[in-house]
Amino acid sequence: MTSAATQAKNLDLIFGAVADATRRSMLDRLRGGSLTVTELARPYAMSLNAVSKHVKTLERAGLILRTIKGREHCCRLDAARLEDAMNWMSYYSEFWSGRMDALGKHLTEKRKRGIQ
Amino acid sequence: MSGQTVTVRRVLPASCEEVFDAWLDAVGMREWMCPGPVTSCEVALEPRVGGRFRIVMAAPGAQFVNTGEFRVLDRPAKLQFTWVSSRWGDQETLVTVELQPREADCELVLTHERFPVEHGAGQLVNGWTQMLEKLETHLGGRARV
Repeated sequence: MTSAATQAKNLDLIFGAVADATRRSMLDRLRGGSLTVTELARPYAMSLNAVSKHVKTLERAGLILRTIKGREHCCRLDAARLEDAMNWMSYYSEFWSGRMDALGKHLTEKRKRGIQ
Repeated sequence: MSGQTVTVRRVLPASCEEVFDAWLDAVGMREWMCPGPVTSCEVALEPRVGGRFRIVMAAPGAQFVNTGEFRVLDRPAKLQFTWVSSRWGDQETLVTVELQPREADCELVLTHERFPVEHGAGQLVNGWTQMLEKLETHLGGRARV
């Protein structure tokens, strides 16, 4: 269990990392399984060095894990972090839906009681 | 709309003034601000722009503290406040409640944005939601709270 402050910092890193289209595309491609940095770089019109920087950003956010096999760096998706981000949306969508239903009931009852 | 936002829409059986006032009624809020397992809910608020609120939700074995500051209080059309929850690492988020009359009722649209402008929210684009949806499918919907 991480502390509240660490969690907030992690979330900032995650959302910073996915704010870039190339990095989102990389994450999307890693959903299919692990890829080496060279394989990951293939579709993009950028240097291996630039790709490597994106990989580092994703790694720092904890979205991917990198292992080194000989000369190859292999990347795979770490779904737990993204799951955490998704939890937020699913939590609040449920939370506010529930609260608004309760607000509706509250207003109906208030009217029945004849209080303005 | 960018992907880090939750939107909830409801048509409520009251005037927009009544709905607006419900958001600033600390006593009434105890009734409708208690989600699922929460057994008691304490609300304290200062109903003015720049005023703060504090909602303490107590559930068996857990307590969540939600605080924030009112940014917009435009009766009866709009409320906006920051929302910081101990449930989510005390990260500052932003809630906007917009109210529109619908004959005798009031349509409420609530948007909860995870990233206020100062956190660089504007940079995020629609692709984020789509990716999360795909990933959710991929994970087999394990992401329930």
